[in-house]
Amino acid sequence: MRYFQPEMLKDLLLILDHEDNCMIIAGGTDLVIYLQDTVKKPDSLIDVTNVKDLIGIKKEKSGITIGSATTISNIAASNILPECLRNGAGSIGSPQIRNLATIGGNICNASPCGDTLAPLLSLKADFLLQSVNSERLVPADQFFIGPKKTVMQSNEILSEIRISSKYLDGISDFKMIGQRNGQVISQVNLAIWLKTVESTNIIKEIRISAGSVAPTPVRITKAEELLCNKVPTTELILEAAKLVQSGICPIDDVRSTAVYRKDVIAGLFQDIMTHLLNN
Amino acid sequence: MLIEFICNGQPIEVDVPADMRALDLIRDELGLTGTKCGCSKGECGACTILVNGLPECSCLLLAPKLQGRKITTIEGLEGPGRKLHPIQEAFLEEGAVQCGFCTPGMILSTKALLDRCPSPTVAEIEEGLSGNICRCTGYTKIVKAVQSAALKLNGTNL
Repeated sequence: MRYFQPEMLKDLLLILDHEDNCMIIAGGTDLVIYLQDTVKKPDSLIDVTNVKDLIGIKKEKSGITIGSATTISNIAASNILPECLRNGAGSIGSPQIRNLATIGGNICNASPCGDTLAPLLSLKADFLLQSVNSERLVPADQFFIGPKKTVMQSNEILSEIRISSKYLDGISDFKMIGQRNGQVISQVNLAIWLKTVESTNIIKEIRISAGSVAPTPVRITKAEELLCNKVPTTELILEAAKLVQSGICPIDDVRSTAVYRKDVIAGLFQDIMTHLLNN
Repeated sequence: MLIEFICNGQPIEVDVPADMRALDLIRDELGLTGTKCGCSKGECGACTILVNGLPECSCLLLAPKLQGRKITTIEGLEGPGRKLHPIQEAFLEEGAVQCGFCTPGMILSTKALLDRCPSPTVAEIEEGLSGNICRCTGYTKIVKAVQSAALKLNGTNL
């Protein structure tokens, strides 16, 4: 097995284009376990974490650009990123895992329980996919097509995550339910971004997304539609919580049951809404 | 592939397979068996090492990623004349060690925490050690040991 550690993005894309049966490695927190267990090893590994252009969080007038090889620790600690994304990143694994893992890895691994995915859907993020001779921008809510499946082609990499300034101007939060506080995988996670009409409590726009409750992270648009242009009273939030419950299709698995997931997501929704509207 | 890195202050040059874990390199090739192999899935923290000062699971870290890095294992904490590090002393004094298997990882996570946050609250200690599992102590004495280590280190620095 060969190991490539390019430092320039163009070299990375060329190697990816040339190599057959290769795998991209970022932090490796999932891939290294896979490599230990599998007999189907790739012929080469291409490490993206030495490419400086893929690391860092940049704020510009149009919004924020996050390099895909930025570590989860750095996402969680960044004070220029929206709360929901920071909290989602902070709830992943342990300090040891967050120091290794990257946001690009969390996205491209496309696990339905990835804790940065629902926040990125709620923030209407776009993903820049690049290959040696093309690039395209894919909205987060069109990127995931199934558990561990994305629209990415084998010669493409995710290079940037972009959040437009419109979604930096608003309030957001993320909460998840796991079996303990540290080192845990979400049984249910929920990210909400909203903006109120200036100096009122009327919701101007709201985006609600959930993870671990469907084959991909999902938007819950029916609840969004109910809340839009209204003052969120306790009764209205309760009504919306029911739409959140009916907007997901969880399964029973090793971590939890479908019934439990449907129950707790209503509580998570009410908690986040109350927190956001009281602050 | 040939990699070069600094381990506990010593330059190392070694040829490693592309899919070798840092954990196996450290234990089997460098003979530094203080780094423990627990779950091999990044869940227990027994294999924690410091990479450029940050705690990472060496079971999830491929050896080629050590290229150009500085790592510290538990063996690197000793001072001259094999004098124990103040964190190690505090763990012994507080009885924070029972079977000892988790201890190297606990101590390195503590080192990273105290380097970043010299006087942590209990909540900060719990967060800093949240990636290290101990099946013996119930954590109370470990938290006390971290507080005691913080006092020792802050005293030394005054």
